[in-house]
Amino acid sequence: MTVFKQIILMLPVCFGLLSGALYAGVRKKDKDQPGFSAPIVIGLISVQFVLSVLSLVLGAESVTLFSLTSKISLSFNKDIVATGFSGLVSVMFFLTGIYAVFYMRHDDNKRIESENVNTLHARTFFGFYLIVWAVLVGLGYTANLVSFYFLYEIMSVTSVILVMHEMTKEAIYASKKYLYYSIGGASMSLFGMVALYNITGGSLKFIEGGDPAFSLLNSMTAGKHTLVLIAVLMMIIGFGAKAGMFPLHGWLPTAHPVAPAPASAVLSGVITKAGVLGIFRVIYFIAGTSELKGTWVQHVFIALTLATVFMGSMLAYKEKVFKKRLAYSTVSQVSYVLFGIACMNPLALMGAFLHVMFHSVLKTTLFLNAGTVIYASDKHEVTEFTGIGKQLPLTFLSFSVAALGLVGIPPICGFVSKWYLCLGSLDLNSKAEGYLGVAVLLISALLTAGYLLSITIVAFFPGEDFDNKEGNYEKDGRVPKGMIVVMLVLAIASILLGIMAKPFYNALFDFVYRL
Amino acid sequence: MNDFLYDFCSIGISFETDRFRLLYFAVTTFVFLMCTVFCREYMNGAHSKARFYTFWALTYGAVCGVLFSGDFFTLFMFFEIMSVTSSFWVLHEENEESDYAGRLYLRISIACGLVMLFGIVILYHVFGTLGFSEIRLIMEQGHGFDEAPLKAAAFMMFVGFGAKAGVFLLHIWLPKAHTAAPAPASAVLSGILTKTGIIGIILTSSVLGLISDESWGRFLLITGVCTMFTGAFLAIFSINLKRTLACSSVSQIGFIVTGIACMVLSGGTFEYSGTLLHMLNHSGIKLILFLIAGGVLKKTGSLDLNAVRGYGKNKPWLMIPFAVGALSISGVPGFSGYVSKTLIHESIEMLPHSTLTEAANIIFTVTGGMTLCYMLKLFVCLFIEDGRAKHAKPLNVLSTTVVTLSALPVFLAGVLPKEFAKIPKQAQISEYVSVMKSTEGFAEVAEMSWFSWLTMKGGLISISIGIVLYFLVVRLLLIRKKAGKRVYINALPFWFDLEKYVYRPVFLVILPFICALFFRILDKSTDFIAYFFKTNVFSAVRKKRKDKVGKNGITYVLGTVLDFFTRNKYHDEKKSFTERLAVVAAQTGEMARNLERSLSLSMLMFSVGLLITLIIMLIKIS
Repeated sequence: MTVFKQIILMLPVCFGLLSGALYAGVRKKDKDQPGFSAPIVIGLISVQFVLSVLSLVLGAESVTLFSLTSKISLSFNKDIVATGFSGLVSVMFFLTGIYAVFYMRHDDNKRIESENVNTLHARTFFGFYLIVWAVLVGLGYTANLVSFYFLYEIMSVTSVILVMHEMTKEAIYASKKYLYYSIGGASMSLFGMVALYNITGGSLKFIEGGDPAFSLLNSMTAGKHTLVLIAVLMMIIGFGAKAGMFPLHGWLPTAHPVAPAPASAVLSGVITKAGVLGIFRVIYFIAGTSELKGTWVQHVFIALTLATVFMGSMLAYKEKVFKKRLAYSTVSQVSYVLFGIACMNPLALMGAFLHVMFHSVLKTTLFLNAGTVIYASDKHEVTEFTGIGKQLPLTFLSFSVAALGLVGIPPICGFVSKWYLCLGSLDLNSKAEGYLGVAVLLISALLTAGYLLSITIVAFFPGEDFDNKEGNYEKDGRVPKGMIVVMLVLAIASILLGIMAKPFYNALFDFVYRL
Repeated sequence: MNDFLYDFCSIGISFETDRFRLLYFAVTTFVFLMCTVFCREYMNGAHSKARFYTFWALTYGAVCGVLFSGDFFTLFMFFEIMSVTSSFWVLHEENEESDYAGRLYLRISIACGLVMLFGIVILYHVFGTLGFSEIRLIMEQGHGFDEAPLKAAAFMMFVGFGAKAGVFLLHIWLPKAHTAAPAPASAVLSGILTKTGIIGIILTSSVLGLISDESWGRFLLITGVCTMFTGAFLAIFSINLKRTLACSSVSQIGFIVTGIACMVLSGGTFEYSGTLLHMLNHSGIKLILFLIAGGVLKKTGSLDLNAVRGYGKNKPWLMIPFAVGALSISGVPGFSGYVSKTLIHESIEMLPHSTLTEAANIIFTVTGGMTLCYMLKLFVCLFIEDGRAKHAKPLNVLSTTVVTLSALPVFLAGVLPKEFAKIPKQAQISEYVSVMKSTEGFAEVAEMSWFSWLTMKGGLISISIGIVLYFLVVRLLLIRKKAGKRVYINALPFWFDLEKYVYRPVFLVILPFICALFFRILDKSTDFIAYFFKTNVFSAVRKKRKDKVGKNGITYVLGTVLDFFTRNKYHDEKKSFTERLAVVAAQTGEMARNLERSLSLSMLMFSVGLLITLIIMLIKIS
């Protein structure tokens, strides 16, 4: 029975990897063939989703696939964070996948019709989409830092394919940049990992409240102490590369805009959170907050996150290309989460967890909106958006809801997480830091309003001399109904999640206060 | 249901009610009802009516939420919803003016809303709850709270509420937004939405125990006095009908804030009566006046005083309501505004004497005169002077009835001051009741003899100042002869616009530029370092590629040998192994180079990491 349950736990990972590889790899070479059949893709996505849910509900608590040494093994463990992360991944990938089936048809037709368009095959896209999904589910489950690192690297490499899908010059440049930053960041984490392993002699297992080997830290000599702290900081910065934290955020505004919209949606909404997960595991499950609280590492971490929050919003405010604006916004918003982790107190951590989820929903909505605009009218810059709300009313309705949520207007969900982040910030030991934190978060929220709501106004209130020649894209079927439904579902979800945030709060409450 | 409310947004919302809230709910409903009926004619032929009415209904709901909220979170939430939905009224017309005003309104609302949120977060941090009565309870048990965070929170919340009310320095959006919105919306914006801000200020002051706090009271008094003077000053110079009314709103809000300042300084119910009555008055009066302004715009197509001149001639059912509103707001004895203004005036005089209260007293009297002055200007322009607009059609029966009905309560209140003055005693804010010092004020109000010389003295001084101002300033300075006609001129220099020439450059140009520059540099720093290393230190030595196929020695030798063994007799170029191998070699080389390029940097980074790791391990072993 245990073996059976263990198999169920690993099933989504295996299925995703296999089906993805087969779907991407086995195909006819004929260029004129339609790239993919929608029922098959929807079938695969649904099966993967069902398996993920099964694994979350019925799967065994833990499983060890094989051991490298007596201490280090490739093993998986399903705690509340793992459940939350993998569940979020599955839901977001499922919804975005449905959207992608409609979106990629357009892309695929272009590839078939035109000689010059050199995009990758749509089956490659969906294959790697499934693979990344599977790896992310596995990443959530990992039970020690070595397994985490292993899957993290696989995830970085496989998601590059999603970025380079268009195969234009920019896409290839962006994917290279993405690869450099990811591997560079990962190497920094690797350094930290090995250093910790050697100095503390810990097992690198994820243990709530930190590795016991770490509690000896304060009895260590000063030199070693500093070294350990440096190692932890290196890991934070290294994993921060994926979460888009300064100084290794540079890939994000380059890579997200060039990927196809569904890919940018999951890159921004979910994959950045893998970096967050890494940092969270390092701080709460390896190092332990009791050892890190009040050290210079915490101050540096807080400073980096706050700088990133401000930087992201400021540059988003100044950005003209819609998807790039959203990418900078991601830089800012994910650092909200990191700030919550950096505060190292229960309330801020609660805010961070909630913001992971809520930002994921909101930003996915926004990127899918951007995708719909590109799909329908091939407009990329916000200056071209005058009156577009009359052509795509439902799209921009969901955009407005998500925008208000990201600003933090209650009762849409972004507010709840920001509320706890602000409270957590005030709980910081250093009063000045706490107030500064709240101020930066709120100024950033104001800038968010500046760069998102201005689009709403331009879209719906184009001015007197605007003449809608294009008609309504949504009514006359130029935008598939499926895409609109997904966006509306996400928008409604963002309101409902805000109103009904309490169950999540209760679920996390014990865990957060135990840490 | 209770669970649902308790879990709402995981913070929980709660509602409470008392006589005051019910009264204001009634006022709100009345104003909305009147405006909705008025919309039938006003919005006839307008575009996007569905959108307008959707946000109309949403805002009504949000206002009710604000009124009945039982804690600061509920208040904040409905306040924000109200701000966002009402901004669509301002944006509604979709012309340049409304776009400018709507964006400004939204910016100010959201910015100040976030400042208010900061204050609320601090409150929650200090008390662990946001309920009005809970906070009162904790305050009364008195655990020695730190004053500084509470004051800071109160100030921040004042910014949030004050922005909606339009207090000094945050009033800049108000004249523009109220002018740009459709007239029924302006009436609600001015009559009701500003009052939600006022209610917020009263609640903040009462709940946080700031009643009888010296510095808080003085701060409110200064703000209130500045607000009332600024509004009246701008109103006198304005030559746009709705803009004059909007500036007048700013000024009246100043009177109300002054009333609150007196409430805070003394903690009595006399002051409360004045404040509440003036709120009621202002809601009613602005309803009448804005609806009339809407009618004028609808029928003449303009709001410029020179263009609408004489519209009201021979239209008694327009003139009577307007006269009631104008006389009332100017505080002429016999009309309702006189009651509330007198009460506030008495309140100021009862404050302990200091330079500040003396100054406040004088400015109060002068501003009262200025009110009469600008209302007289509007009245004369609309109803006495002659102009082309005289022949414009009157409003239809329904709208006229609405305007008349709106004027009725204001008129009755003026005729029956005794009864009117009893309202505050019946409608008290429960939060204020729990902190006020005495209830004797209500008796004093009831005993006032409204038409005695002593009571009327202040009002009459104001009125004479107003009449003098009208003839000296408006008739002499603000009306010029142009081409044989006397026209109203805008005497204020164009740069006299705080918003356009101070706020806008600072907050929308200079600050973003500096921050963006700084962060742009930060943003690109990592990329720059990477680029620097790539081009200088780690630049690949580019070799000249061999383009010609087959020059490679190994493939040539291997191919010849294979050719020999397979006895390739035909010497067909394409089938020769020499050639085939050469092509394969060239392709492999190409692929290898590409791989090499893309992986080299990442490998390099990886190796650096590994190297450091090894060094650490060495150190550890040694």
